[in-house]
Amino acid sequence: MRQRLPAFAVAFLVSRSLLAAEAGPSLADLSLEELGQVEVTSVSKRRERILDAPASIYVISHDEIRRSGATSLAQALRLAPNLQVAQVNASQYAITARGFNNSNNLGNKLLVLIDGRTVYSPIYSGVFWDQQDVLLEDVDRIEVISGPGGTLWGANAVNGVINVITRSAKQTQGGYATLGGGDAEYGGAFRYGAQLGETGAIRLYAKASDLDNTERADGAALADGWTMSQAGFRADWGHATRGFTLQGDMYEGRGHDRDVGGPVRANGANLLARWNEQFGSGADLQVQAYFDRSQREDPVGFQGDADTWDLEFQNGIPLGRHKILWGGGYREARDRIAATLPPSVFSFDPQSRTLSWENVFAQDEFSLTETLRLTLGIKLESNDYTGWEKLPSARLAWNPTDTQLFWGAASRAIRAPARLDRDFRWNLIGAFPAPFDNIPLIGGGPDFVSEVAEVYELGYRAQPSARLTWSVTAFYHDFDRLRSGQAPQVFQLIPAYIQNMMEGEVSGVEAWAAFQVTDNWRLGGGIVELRKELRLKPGSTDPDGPPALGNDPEHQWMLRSSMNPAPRVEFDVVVRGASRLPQPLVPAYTTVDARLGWRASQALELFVAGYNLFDPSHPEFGAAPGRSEIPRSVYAGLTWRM
Amino acid sequence: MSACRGRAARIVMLAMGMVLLLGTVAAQPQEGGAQEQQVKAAYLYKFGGYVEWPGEAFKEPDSPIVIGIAGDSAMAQEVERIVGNRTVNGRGVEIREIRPDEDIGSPHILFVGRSQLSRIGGLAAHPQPILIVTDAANALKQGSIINFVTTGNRVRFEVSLDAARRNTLRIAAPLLAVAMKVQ
Repeated sequence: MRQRLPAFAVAFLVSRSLLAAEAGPSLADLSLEELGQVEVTSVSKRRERILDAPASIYVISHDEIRRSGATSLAQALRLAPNLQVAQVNASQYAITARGFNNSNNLGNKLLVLIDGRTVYSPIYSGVFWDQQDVLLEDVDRIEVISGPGGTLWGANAVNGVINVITRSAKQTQGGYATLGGGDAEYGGAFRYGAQLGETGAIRLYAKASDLDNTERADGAALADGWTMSQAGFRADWGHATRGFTLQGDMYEGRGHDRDVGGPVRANGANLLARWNEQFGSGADLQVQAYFDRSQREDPVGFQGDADTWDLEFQNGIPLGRHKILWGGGYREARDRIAATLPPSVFSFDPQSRTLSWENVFAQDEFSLTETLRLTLGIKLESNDYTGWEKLPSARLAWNPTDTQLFWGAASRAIRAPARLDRDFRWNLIGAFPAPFDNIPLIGGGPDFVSEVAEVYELGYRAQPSARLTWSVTAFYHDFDRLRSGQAPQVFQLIPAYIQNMMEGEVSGVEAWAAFQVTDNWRLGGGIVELRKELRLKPGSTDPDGPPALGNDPEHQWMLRSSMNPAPRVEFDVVVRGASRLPQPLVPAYTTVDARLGWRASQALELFVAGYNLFDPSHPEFGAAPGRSEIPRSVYAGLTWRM
Repeated sequence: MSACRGRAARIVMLAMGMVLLLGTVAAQPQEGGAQEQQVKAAYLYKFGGYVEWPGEAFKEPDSPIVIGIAGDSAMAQEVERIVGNRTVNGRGVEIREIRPDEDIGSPHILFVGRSQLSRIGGLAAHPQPILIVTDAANALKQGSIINFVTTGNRVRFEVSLDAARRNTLRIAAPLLAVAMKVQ
């Protein structure tokens, strides 16, 4: 169901089945690119435009990804003006929306889905970005929603949802190969797509990359390089009214050799099946099941694996002025997490656990008048730690004209406890005298419950002319029961437990615009202003306080220029800036990336890209002196399409 | 053990629920749709803004752009409806349905429906500044310049630059950038 969710995100947010009769004429006001994105549903006659979505949504298009020169999913996410993306080292990224950024994404509140498969870990609430990749050439679009999406996506979609949507196998026919290298990485990929019987199509792909180690500011080399290989397939049968998809991937990653311990190794595989059907009544149904296995072995850190099964369905029913969407799902994840070696033992108790989640949701999009739509919805989701949680939301959308949208939303979102919050143990040999060695110094909180956010948003989006679109969103998140720690009381043999003793408000503004200056030149840009007012609740003995909940810039901006200076030439420049991160201090930085592409023939494209062009290196995340400096680098290569 | 059985029971119930649901909704009849045509009609109108015709293709600087439609009267109506009073680069838009027995004449954009596809062979042999648009597999090989392709749930198109050159048309880069395939 999730792969359709984007469409549904847009549908629930957007669909205007009532206006279907008038929808025809204004198709003429869409750009060519937008026309290519219109979902043609032969039955519902529903028009779906990003412009009409009452949420802070930015869609990274296939072309934007291609022209950016991004070589991994995490890099491509830099294109979304409503995300904060900081490169931690050669292979790791800290990515979030609306703050709470943390390296390794510990405690992140961002849900990430690849073709409907969640890659957010139930073990520690985060994403290992070095393990999650796709063949970017086959990505249709990445929908980035900043703000809560719990009513559709469930717990953990507190600050945002990222939906990576790959193209149908029918849209990726023929051959594709790319090869590139530079002073920070090299890699290659290929894909082949073919027909499969009368109505089917399949593609196979493989990609491999090697990222070089980075250095610290003092010039000392770090062992953070990463080698990754991945392969997969996707097969699609049928058509818009009845379709079936089967897809899978497998990957293996290996860190570079380190002085201490062996290299980090990771691997995983997944298989997903999805069936969707549209009925003459305008109703639609989607059923999806997947299995995902991921494993990570860090000899001096996290060593664990998780097997996840997931089954979901959803059903959309138009009923006069109402559009009902309802569904449910069940997920089960079994993990095994090994303890690290003494004397500093990180472990989980129990070492192996099976968690399950169930959910049901329903929402109604109701057209109050021709121009005013109200969407009310609620999701009930259960988890093994806190039972059933309620995730309601209300959204109001007003289109005073066909090219303007005012919207407002109120939502309740939660981050449900992860294994880390409840089951974590840190035993430091010698911290407590024998025979009390088995008492952890830090322990998961037996009383840890879900973090809660009440979120209020106001937005305006417009397309005043065919050449200009812009969007602005103001948000206010009222957080309660945020994760906090305690100071251990060593002499009384009392561990420090993970608690819910922080609260506070996060507010800000996100805005972006795109302007087609001439037919051959497009400008885009965005800013994020973020203010966090977090505090410990009375009675907490947390020694760190709010800095433990992420390190975020107050200002962030980007400007992008996409130009075709000559018929077969593409020239792109991206300038990004972030103000300083407060604690640990990371100085403000501005980076300039550029890419030049030349289509030498129909099939062959040559490109050269430079990253961080005007700066030998800078850190983007982490504490000095151990952190990585992100160096200036170049990458060149060729792409062949048949 | 009982927790395990409970889980299994829940999965079974969920699965049964889905089967029941399918039974009820799948029983409803299906119908064909019209929206694909609306999108194609919108494209036909939009293409005008991204093509440069030689000067002699227009009698006056403000002569209208003529969109001819052969072999698909539903499409002609759809284009008529979608265009309304809109203009392209300051020019009015005139829509002409071309009957099977009528001459093609010299429209600026010509949509050829599948039933009349054989006519593009003749057009290719005697090039005129006409943007030929089709929606049939392999139509580019027969001389069409832009051909619609519906993949997944979306209407995209492929472009033949050689055919455009043959008809002395220049196609702007943004159109090519959106094309699924340029050959």
